[in-house]
Amino acid sequence: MTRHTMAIDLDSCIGCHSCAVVCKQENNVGLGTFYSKVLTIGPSGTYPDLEMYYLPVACQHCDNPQCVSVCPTGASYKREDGIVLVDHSKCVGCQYCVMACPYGVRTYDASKDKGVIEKCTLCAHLVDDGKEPACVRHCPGQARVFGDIDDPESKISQLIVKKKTHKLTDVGNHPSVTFGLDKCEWKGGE
Amino acid sequence: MSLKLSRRSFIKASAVASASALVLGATETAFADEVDAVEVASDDVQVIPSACRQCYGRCALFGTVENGRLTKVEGNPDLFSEGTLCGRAFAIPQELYNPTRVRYPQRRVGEKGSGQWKRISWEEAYQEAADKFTEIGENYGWHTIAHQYGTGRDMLQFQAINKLWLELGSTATFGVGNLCWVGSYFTSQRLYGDETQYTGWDGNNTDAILIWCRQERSRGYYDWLTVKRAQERGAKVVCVDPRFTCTASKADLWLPIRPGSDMALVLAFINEIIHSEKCATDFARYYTNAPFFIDEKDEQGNGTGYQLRQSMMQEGGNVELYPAWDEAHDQLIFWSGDWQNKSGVGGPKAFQWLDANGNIVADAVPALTTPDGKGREINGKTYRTSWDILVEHVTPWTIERAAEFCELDPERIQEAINIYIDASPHACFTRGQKVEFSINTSGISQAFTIMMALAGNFDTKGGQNIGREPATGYDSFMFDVVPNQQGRMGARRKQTAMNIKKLSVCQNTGYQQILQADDATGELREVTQNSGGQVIYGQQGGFGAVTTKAMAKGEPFQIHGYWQQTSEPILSIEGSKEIIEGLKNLDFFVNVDIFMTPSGELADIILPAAHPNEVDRVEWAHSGHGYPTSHTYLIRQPFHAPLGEAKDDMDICFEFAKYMDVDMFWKDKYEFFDYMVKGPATLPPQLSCASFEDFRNRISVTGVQMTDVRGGKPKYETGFMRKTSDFRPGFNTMYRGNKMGSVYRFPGTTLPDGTQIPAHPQSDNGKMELWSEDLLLYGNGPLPMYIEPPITKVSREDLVEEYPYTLITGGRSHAFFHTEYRNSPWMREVHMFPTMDINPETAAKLGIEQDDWCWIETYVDRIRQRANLTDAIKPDTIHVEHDWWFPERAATDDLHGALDANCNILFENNGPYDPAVGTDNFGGLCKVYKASEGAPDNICMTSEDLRIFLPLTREQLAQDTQDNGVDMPIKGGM
Repeated sequence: MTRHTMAIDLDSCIGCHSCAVVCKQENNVGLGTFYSKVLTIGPSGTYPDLEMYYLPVACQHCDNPQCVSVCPTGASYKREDGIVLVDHSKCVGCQYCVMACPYGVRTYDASKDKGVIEKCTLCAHLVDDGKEPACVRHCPGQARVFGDIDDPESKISQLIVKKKTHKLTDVGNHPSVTFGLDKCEWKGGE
Repeated sequence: MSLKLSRRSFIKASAVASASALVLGATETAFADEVDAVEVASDDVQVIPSACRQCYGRCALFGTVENGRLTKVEGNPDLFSEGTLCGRAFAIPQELYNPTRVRYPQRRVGEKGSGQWKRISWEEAYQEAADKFTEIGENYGWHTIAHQYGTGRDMLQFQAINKLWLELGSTATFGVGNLCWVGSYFTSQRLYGDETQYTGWDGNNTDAILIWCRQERSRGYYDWLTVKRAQERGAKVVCVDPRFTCTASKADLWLPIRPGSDMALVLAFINEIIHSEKCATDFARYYTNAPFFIDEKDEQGNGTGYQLRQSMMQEGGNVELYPAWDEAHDQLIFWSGDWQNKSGVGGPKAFQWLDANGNIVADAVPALTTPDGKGREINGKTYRTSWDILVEHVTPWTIERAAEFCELDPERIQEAINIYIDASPHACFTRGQKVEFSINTSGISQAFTIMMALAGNFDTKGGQNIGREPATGYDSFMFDVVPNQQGRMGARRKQTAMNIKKLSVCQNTGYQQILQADDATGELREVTQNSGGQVIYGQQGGFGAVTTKAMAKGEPFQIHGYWQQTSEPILSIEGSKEIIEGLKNLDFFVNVDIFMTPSGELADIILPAAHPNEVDRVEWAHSGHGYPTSHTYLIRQPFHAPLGEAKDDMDICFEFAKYMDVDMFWKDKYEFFDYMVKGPATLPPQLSCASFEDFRNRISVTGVQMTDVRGGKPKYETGFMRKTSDFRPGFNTMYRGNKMGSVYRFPGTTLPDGTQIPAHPQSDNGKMELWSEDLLLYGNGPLPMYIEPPITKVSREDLVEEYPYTLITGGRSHAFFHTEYRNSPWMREVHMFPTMDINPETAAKLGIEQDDWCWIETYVDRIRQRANLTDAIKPDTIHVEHDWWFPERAATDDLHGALDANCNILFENNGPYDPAVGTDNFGGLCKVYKASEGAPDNICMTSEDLRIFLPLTREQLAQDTQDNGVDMPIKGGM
């Protein structure tokens, strides 16, 4: 089975927000909405032995997505290949999913389609075209890897094997996005 | 597709007809066949390979253009930037169609700063400018017209501006390079004839990278990929920076240095290197002036202070013979610097060691040192070598002393130095601009150069590539060099050069008090420094402070006219309020820019410049780092014709030159581009383009590394450092009076205090200068000295009680490029507010919480920025961002909010300055307190507020012909 998701090598991420901006171009994301946010974690430690890393956070395309469970119209759904999407034709903008998402990565955009939920699509339109998500293609740190996590030969599986890996806090939703981080202590995603 | 228009004819055609889909469609034939990545969906959609110019990184990209409008930007995976792009590239469409863009020439109709403009024609604008500038030139002298160019827009445009205004007799500029880069460029040119401070580091093969105050994400982010891969290979990265930046977080070792104390640390590096077994003594012996004797001044003032020449030792001695001691034969030998064959020891004897009878001593071993370093007696006088003096100079700069000066842990310093020395000769060094923002910028650049050279890292694998390699076409500076070589310099320019002492705004900057460390004791003491004239870019043109004084105070003379091109001195130069005063004093001021800007509102005429992605350019590898970046030049070609009546600002220079009867030599930019991409006749055909059109088809050309074709030998061994094409081993220091400047204090002249500068020829003898005669003449002294910046806790104890925090400025933001992108919804959204970094401990003490607006106050003035509490900065230090303004505020509202958060109003401009290039001091002492008023008035506070800056639609652009100026979006107004 194919499970498309993303792994992000935080040792490579320089916190430049390129992902946040290219996403706006690719997905026509409105002002005030970010599919991908970039958090600065730290610096922490005892001066001058400090640590800091950047944490890009977008939809984690969970294996057991709460947003899908709570959606009253079936607008939020998980594709066979693992990508979680919102069907704007069904979305009524009730924002249950916004509350259900543990990561705060869903945004209500009143300006689109009479008010709908917006979030990272893993650039499903590009994936279906055999391409990579825009943020993966352009990342200045080449920190992002997209692929099929069920394929042990895929670049994403290889990266995960190579690094110490982490996930955002799992409250039963089983986030699929993996973060690699060797150089710093993982502080979680809060 | 049958129209066979070349791109060049397209540009011409588009000047008369608006860019139609048909014409655009035709242009794709120029490159469609060559590039697989070009996708042509239909006649009105094309993907154009080009380059980004939103910083110096010039990343390779593709623009998707639909019906003549850029709709998408994507990275080009086939070139050095590897398909990566930062956010600023994706925001290019927001720049192109920004509502603050000037699209038609404008004449101011209200008071200065009123924001009232009327559209005029190009002919009216040019004619009025020509009349007014001519009137000023004839009434007050052409030197009373200043000119100015900004950074990044770009090296070729700069050449055109420079040539136009030098030919017209203008000398004064605010400068831009002397804020960054030029100090290092100038100094390394003087020391060995090329540069390697920002550029030329071989991260691909290195075992250690020393990164000094440089952000991974300031420009050319692809460099990070090189650093990262080096680390993955096992190379160590050392970061020196007062702040825990992104670079620091990725480094293996961070040295949080006290701001402005860098020289102490570099001297400790040199000291450790000189006393280590790794020291490149053979290099010093055979390729530098280290073995040369120095004719030191004694206590009675005897001695010239220069490198000894035979002519100083004996009657009838030769000026081109430099004495040294031959260890192999225990005899006095002489290095012949007579490569020009003017002094009788040239030809085969040039660049050879000669004995007293003038015979070549092929196996000479010049001694680096004299007995006990105390000197050797020759003809009754004792001389030390320049090596002796260098060793004496650096030896007291121990790690312990550096630790004290720099407020660093000595063990950390030792570890950093060990990493660098252990990896040498496969260690490289790169720096950011911030080290350059000091009154000792040329001194620190000399110190870095000595450090790299003596660690043996010059032209080694994994070290520093020390010269632009002649592996691709000509550099941009040939724009001016070629006509001058052919004797086409105009009469007025010559007159100005000959009378520069009277005509330069720099004339009163001769002496200044500085706080210099005594080498032996480390004590700081006040000394008087002779300033060398602050040469910049080939004219004694001035720098921010002196040009400001000339405009605002009439000292040393009143500037009456001003031509400014894509620059914003109010935000980027210290003493902003005095600059405003100066700009208001002007009789006539033309501003060429893409957008409405604070200083632009004080102009009389605004000429609309095209965006960098609306013009043709050769993106030369001037910002290139490792291979292949450093060897690749790349096409930047337009996505479409300039909006409205905007023009390529190179073309503006060429057109205005005709109105002013200036001989630009080149017929137009393309004639120069053709020359540039063709390169010298010696270029192998695959690296030479027949013409710019051929280059357009090829998109990019990547040269070969000299190390690959010369058996890995360094260029100083194979003659490739020589600009004279004599291919002699050795170096080529630029000699006085050429492109990079003429010395203010020529040997042979009398200083204002009556001191005679002894006459002697320029030392251009093929040796790299560690001890530098040129820098001595410029006022720095021959060796890099520790100078305490003028406003620190150490130098101004009197200020500390009221202003207890060290203030640093100008750390680069990944959301902006200097003053740019404050009008970009996407980039402002990423970084909405001017941000002050403050340690949480300090913030707690001051009652400041995260996101509080705070006043940052120096003894000069105060600004407001928003607090970011972070442990990335020491408790006693505050960092504020630079170049902030608020285009959402009206012209009448403090010139678009140019005073609220602009850190350059916090500093005065009364010197001291770097004696060679005029760089001022951009740090100081401050106090910080919460701003009860909160944010400045009328600024965008939310993403929603930024809607006013969204791109104008095709229809909006067509409808608004800017008859009454640019309809500036004001916060809240839609």
